[in-house]
Amino acid sequence: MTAKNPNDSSTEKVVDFRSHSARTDAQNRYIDPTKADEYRRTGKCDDPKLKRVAQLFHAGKVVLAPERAKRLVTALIQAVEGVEKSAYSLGDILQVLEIYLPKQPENSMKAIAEIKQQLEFDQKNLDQAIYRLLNIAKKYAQPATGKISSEQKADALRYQKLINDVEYIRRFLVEQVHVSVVVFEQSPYPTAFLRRGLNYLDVLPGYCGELANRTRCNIFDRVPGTQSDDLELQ
Amino acid sequence: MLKQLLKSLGTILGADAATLPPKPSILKKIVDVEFDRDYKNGRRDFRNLILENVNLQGINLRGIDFRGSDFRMVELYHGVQLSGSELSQVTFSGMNLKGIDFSNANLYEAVLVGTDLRGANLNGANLSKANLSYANFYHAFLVGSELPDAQLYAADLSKADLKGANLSRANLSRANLTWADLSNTNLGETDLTMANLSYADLEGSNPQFAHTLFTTLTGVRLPEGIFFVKHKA
Repeated sequence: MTAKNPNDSSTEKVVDFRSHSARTDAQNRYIDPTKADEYRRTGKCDDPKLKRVAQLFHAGKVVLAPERAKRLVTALIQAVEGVEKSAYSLGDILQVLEIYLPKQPENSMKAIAEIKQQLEFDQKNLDQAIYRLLNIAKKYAQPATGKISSEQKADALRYQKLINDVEYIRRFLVEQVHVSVVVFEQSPYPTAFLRRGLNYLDVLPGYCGELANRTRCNIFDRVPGTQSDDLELQ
Repeated sequence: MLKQLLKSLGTILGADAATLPPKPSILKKIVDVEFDRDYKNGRRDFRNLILENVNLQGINLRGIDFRGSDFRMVELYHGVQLSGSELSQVTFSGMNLKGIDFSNANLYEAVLVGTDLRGANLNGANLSKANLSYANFYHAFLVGSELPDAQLYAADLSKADLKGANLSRANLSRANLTWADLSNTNLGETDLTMANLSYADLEGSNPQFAHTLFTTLTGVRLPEGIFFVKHKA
């Protein structure tokens, strides 16, 4: 899709704003389709929302419809909730395992099998939730508009650091706290053996929450004509 | 600077091996019966001795002075209480000490060349100036341990837990630190030439002050604000 500068009077290469909003009805659209049609035909732009969108397109920026932004934020919240739930559950299971591991032969095989099953289930859920969160976070990493100030640069670095940390912890939990590794590598010091994994599970929900908040800001920065919290207040 | 450059070049070319343990001075031997008799008579000074087939099981080594002694002919079972013991300058080279508890022990200038310390507990131990070259620390616990000026040339520290350890001026060249936890460690002037730090956790540490020539840093977790490790000669 190509965009033209709204201040330009020529009528060539105008924007078709209807292509992305085919699923929503005309009344709920962010931009009035009649005004978009008028802009397409004449190149005149009176609506401030339409003007802002056209300016962003002209500057080569990606914009998001408010409905899409809301859907993304809902997905983010669900992912963070999934991470929190699975991380706490996995932490509890590992603490149970910490008690069971040293006296494994004495315990019934059934109890061990149940713990292993629960561990696998929680790890799978946690992995999926982190994957969903990172998928959105990586896609909306950079602020959409304007020159990048030193504050924004620091924010971007922090954002990248959070992504790296969450990815690192995910990899550690998948590779080193896998049920086969934990049960196979028996240690006479179970507390020290599981300390690192438990520590990561402790900090992971916090990292994911911060990453989700920053992603939410980045998403709303791409919605033209809205501040980050405007949609929350509606 | 030039000295470090030459040292790093030596490591790259494989010219430098680990510093050899000092030549053993002529030490007096002490056997099982003699040790038992002296211990029961209240002797606690067993410095500069070669312990031969001494059974240390059931004896709390805390409070006994073994400085400069050689333990290579002693079998250290799990029952031997080595936690918090005074073992400075002792020799454990080539021994199988898998899963042993050395927590809070003083191993200052100890010689543990090629020792198997897999899964050992060395939390809070003092290993300053110790020679730990070629030692196997796979999944060992070294939380808060003191390792300044320690020789860890070609040591296997993969999956080792070194959280909060002091590794200043330690020689970790050619060491394997894959998946090691180096968070909050002091890496000031640490020699990491040709070391493998793949997937190591360096959060809260200071890798910018370490010597990192030809160091493998794949998937490493770096502290905030550090996006590359400065290569120093």
